[in-house]
Amino acid sequence: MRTSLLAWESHKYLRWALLLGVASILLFGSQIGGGAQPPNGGTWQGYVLGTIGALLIVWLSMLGVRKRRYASNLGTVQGWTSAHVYLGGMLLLVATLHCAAQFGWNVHTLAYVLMCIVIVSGFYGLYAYMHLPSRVAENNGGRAREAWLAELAELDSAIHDLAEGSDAELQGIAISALDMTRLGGSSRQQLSARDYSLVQLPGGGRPVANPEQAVVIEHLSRRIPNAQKTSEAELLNELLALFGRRQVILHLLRRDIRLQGLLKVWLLLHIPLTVALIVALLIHIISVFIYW
Amino acid sequence: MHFLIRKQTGRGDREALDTEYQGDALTLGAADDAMVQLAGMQGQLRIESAGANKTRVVAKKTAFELNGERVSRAELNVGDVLSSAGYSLTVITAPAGFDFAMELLVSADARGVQPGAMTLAETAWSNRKLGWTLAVVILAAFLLLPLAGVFQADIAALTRQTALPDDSLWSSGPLTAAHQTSGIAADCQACHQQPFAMVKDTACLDCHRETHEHVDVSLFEAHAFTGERCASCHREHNEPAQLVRRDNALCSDCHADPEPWTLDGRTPMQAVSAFTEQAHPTFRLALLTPQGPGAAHGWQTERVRAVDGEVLQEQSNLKFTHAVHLDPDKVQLESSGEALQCDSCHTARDDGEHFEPVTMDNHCRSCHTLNFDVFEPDLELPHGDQRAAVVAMEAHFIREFTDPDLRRERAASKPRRVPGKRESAASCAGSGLDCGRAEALKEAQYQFAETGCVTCHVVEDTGLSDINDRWFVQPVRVTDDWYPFSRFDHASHRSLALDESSGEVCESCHQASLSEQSSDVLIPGQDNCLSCHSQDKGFSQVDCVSCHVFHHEGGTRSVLVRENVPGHADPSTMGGGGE
Repeated sequence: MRTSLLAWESHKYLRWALLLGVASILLFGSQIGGGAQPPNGGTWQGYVLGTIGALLIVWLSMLGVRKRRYASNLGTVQGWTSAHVYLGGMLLLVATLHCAAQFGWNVHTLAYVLMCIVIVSGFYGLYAYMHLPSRVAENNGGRAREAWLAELAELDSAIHDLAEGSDAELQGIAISALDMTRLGGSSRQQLSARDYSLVQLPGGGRPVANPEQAVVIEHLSRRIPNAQKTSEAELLNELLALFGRRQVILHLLRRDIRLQGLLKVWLLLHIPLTVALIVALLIHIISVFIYW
Repeated sequence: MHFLIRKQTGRGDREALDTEYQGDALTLGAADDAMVQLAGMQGQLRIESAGANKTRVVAKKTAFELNGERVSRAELNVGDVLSSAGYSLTVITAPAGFDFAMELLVSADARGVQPGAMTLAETAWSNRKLGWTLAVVILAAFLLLPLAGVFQADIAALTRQTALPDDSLWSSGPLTAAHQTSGIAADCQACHQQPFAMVKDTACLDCHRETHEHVDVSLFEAHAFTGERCASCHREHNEPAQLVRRDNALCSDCHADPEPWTLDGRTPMQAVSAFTEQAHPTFRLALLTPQGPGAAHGWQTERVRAVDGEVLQEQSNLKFTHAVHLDPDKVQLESSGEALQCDSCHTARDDGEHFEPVTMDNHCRSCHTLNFDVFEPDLELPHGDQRAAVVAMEAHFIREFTDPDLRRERAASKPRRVPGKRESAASCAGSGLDCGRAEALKEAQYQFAETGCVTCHVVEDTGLSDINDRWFVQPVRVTDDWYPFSRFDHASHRSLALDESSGEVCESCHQASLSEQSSDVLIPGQDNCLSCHSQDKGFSQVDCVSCHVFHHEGGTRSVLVRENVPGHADPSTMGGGGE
């Protein structure tokens, strides 16, 4: 992915972007020290840079459309994405030169800030797309999330069946550990991968935290030496093995949820703020001409 | 209250796990603070007393089914079945010691882990929803509300007075300090009077009524100047503020090539493209020149350019030498006995460029007294009116010789001899009128032709017999503004002085102590300015507008020629002409 996206056609679009950057700097430089105003978006050079920037924004946002047009002949999606990355990065320079780094509490700066957030989130997205898929694959060991969930359900069922044959204390702790296992949850919980699982220990009271099933596993292992009968020890051993496997799968699933979330979370900024940016950009252009 | 939850654990109702809870209410749900943990459940159920042995259940952020009916709060009675998210709760008769009891059954598919949302798509707002929300908020705050103010003044007033978003959100930068004033700063419409139209000149001229065009538009084609808007040069909302153009191109776009600008078939200006020796024409001195004999037709300012090292001379008709007056051995201040300084006579005006006129009464008279009769040394002639001076002399001497008492007194007295003063007659043999007239003529001869007026003035002897016509004192006019088309600040150049109290700073440009003639022009020329300010040298460069004014007073008043100024005629029908 890395080589094909960034090095697409021998860095063709990197060269395009650098060319655009150099041209923009030269254009900006030509307005220094002359005319009726200092460098800004209102000189003819500023208008040219602004038009380039606006057209870039419109074109960059078209990637979302191009991606969905499977029948399109307008270049490959990979080529588009490569150009999207390089020209999107260069937009930061073009827009900064357009406004000559003049900022204020106004819709113009709003559009600029939104653009910056979109671009920076895009940089994160690029990083995520280049590095996270391999980590997902490494984590999941070649199996889909559904397969792991199915195995977890089987484990839980097995634990349930075993627990029902045990004493009330063991049954309470084992079943409550199953019932109070937390997986996924809110966006924050998904991204943090923190384990909020609980377990109800014997003797009543509030359930206690059971991160990585550690509390229930420790309880089981403590009870093994005190087992009165062989069958009890066997039961405990069996439960311990099942909870151990459960611990591994839950950990893996949480990491998977986190990595998949990290692959997607930047789009929650990138896409909606692009929409916001286009609206702010339109208002920026309209308002400049309302108060010409 | 004491609550009992009996959890059915087996497949059927063989075994149960009883848990006791105590508190005002019993909470059930998946949140950490729920007393009864029901994994995977959204929101929370709260069971609490409803008074008089009654118990009710209230759902927070969720709903449940009570006996098959979907509700969010209900009163609970024994036998009621409450179900939610795969859990089934049946109200049972509370055993002794408990106020309320329920049997909890976990359905088969709720056994084991109940995963919550595992993708962001389930928990976060969708991109579409987020995007639309942001778009609507931005559109409303940054476009619709300010735009409503453009068309409805009361909405504009409301938004500007409150924290509501107003059209200041469209401002592309701060105004210059001069425009940061009430009626302009917050009121965009003060200048932006019409949406989607460039700021009109009328908006500027509403306040700047005294502004002049660059030229007299009756002489030069008006469209060349009125075609440009005020805002073509004066651009607001810039950082750094740059309301006045300072680039050479402001002037050189026309003045670099004066060919097209002819007036009566000749080009009234010389090519200039920068302030350097090569690119700027030699300065023209404004020399006052008397018109007609004895300036009978007044004085005219002629702007003269010295060619080939020619030394220009002033024709002020004044006899004066700076060299003598600045020589401490020859002239001292009457009050202190010290040598004269430049500022003994020259007082700068508030504009920092020009000086107050030097006058006989204020600056000369203390030494050059106009007394004319040694018998009455305090009596002085009037200055500036030749006829009045003659009348004063005649009147004085006729009175002296006509009044017998005065005549006797004069004959008896012996005044002190005063050098440089005529010793007038003490006694006379004729009638009072004849003696007085004769004495007046002698004194006039002395004043006009020998010493007195003639010390400072050019006096011509006409040869006529009438005392009033015999002499003619040429009128004096000293140039006040040598470079009327440029400006200069003396104050900023005083830093050249090593010791400001001395005349040294003035002498560094005006070499007065070497000037023997009043016709010497002591105003420095271009070389003097170029030595520091040439644009092809690296220090203290000046641009065109450092010295020159674009809107100078010779131009037509802008309100007369710029469009749409209320109360003024259409420019196409205007004859033009400055005021």
